[in-house]
Amino acid sequence: MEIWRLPISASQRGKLISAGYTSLSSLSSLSPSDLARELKVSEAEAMGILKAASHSRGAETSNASCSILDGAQSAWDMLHDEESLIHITTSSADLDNILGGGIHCKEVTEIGGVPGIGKTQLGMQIAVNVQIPHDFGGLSGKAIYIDTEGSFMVERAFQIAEACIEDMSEYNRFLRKDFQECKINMKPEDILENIFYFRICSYTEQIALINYLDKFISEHKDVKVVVVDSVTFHFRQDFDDMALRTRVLSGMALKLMNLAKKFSLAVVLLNQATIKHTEGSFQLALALGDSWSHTCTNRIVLYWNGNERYAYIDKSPSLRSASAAYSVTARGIRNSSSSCKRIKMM
Amino acid sequence: MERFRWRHGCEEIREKDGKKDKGEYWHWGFEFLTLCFCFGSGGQLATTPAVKARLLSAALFIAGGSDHVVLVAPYEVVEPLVKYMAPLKNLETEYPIIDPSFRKFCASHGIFSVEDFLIHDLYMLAAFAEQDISSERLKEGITQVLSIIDDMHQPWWNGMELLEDAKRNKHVLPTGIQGIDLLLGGGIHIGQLTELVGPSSSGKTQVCLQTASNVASNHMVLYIDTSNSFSPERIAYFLGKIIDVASAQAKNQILQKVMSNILCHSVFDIFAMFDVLHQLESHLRYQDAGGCQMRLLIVDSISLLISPVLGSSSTQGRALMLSAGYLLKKLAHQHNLAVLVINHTVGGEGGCSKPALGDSWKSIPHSRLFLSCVRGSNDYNALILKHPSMASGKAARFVI
Repeated sequence: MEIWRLPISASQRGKLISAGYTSLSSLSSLSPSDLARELKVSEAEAMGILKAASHSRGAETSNASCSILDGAQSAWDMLHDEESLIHITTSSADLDNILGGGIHCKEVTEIGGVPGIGKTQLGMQIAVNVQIPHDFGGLSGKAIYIDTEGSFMVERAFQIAEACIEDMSEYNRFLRKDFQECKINMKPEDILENIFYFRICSYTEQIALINYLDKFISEHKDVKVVVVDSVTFHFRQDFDDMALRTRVLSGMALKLMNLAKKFSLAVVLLNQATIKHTEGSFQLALALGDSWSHTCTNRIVLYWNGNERYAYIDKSPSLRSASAAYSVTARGIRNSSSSCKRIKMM
Repeated sequence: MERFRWRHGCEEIREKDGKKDKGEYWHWGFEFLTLCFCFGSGGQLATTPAVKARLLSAALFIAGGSDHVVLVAPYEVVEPLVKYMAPLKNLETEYPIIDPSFRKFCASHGIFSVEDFLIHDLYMLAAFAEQDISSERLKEGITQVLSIIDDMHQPWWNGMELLEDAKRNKHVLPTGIQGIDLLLGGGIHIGQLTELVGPSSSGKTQVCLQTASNVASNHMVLYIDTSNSFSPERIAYFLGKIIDVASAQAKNQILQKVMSNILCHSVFDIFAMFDVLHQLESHLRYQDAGGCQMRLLIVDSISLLISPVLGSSSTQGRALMLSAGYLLKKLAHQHNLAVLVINHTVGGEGGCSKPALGDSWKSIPHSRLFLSCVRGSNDYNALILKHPSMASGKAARFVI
């Protein structure tokens, strides 16, 4: 490959050629300081030239398709990456089933529904469940909980954490009957300690926090889930300029997606429901409007069906739309069972 | 001829170095104000020098039509452009006629680079050359530079050649979805920009994934993913339906081969997309004729990248949007790519939804398909909003 093909500026190219470098191979064994001296350029500039040269050389020698673009991945590699990813369980087998194993990492999942349907409960459950150790099929990560409504109840989180640990020890006994007892040295206190809680009081704070998250997570690499409860609240309160709102929201969504991809974590956004008037009838829809509905990768709608709570997959690139029942118990989110139903009815 | 005087100003400033403030530019006689390009504070709008320089050269291209230009730009923006223009002395190694004395003559007329040459009045230059002592040599130099420039421009095509090119290179790529293929007369056109638009969960991403898996068996596909919605699992599922091989091992091999042809790149802002596209462009330019060629570029979704920068108050977002559109079209035409982009809908008047990005984007795609989900069934609807060779308003149903 010749020098003139290098993606460098014309003046640099001119300097290289006049210094006698015509082919890429002649640049291969040079150090940046030597080159800088010879071309009479700054060392940083020489470094840039060498980087471009070595990059082009790499692209030339390896005929693998991935070298076409930096940072591109082939679908085959991605399939394997995806297979090795662990999902975050919701503690309800039916719900996990329709979600393809639980909440997906590297993706943004939006969960919405009417008040009292259990959005916050599900959010807390996920924040606890992400900490299940690897031995129990969990991620053993930490959670960030962003609370905009003030609905995070720490006592309730403690309850869920206790139940989660109880479940794990039961599972342990069941699984390793004849082996020595594998002690679970996790306490509910540890679980609560690993939930980073941010209380947000205005939308500017919310935007600022989302911008800061990148730094925070690079310092706390084991954060595996970010729960925003709810993404809607402040944006429904004090926004007059709807165009501005759309812009701000989509910028925020892009940042969250970037986080999800970069640190391979799950982002769970909780959203409120609203009534929408379409085609002469009133329908339940999630808040923030049409343009927001495009921004989330996955969308789960929670709704009442008679006395039972149901979750419905409204949008997903990989999952088929399906619905499943679940219930909110004292121990957290669980499968819907007839006994629960009876209790509710009484 | 006071045109483009500013450029010499830049050269001066670069040489004097210490003077880097914006005020400098006003010293260079910008009494004419025809066109004004403002770049955001400190040039932060454009992230990389390459992008900045391209923005500026685009501005210059437009400005070329008018007589006088005022360029208001901070030094960081102008500086890379000054470097970008090939100085005449770079030509000396190949063309000895462009020697220092010739360059000195050019410099006395304010010509430092090839671009300066292009916009200078050559009759006047030749007239000045006549008066010089070594006029023969100077004229020879001018002719030489002109012939170099002549070699650089794009060749012209006649209608027959265009038709032949269309027959040879501009095929259609079948999407693999029966309804859409029938509707579009075979599939999406190579060399054109096709847009899918529709409300949330109307099958836009699914059409893209299906098309990608259908095309990948013979060609390379680049999938630019802005919303983490690329699902390799889904691709594998679509391919599983196409591949008709009994043994599991052979099937797996084919799957691996085909799926390696699909490249996915995640971008989360528009500047990153520009970088990817420029990188792709430089790659495609030197792509070998043989082997597996890239034929399909998918952007899912373009509106998600553009909507954060598209504001009512500033025109920068609009400029970025249009240049993204033209870059995509240029790639499509020059490198025989079919480009498939996804656009969203926004609520319009009276509760009905309309495509996002407004009227200025509307003119960019060659064809537009409106997708919608038929409630209560697994069917989807596709409606032609715009197509170069089909009547708009035709619709078809398809299943995914």
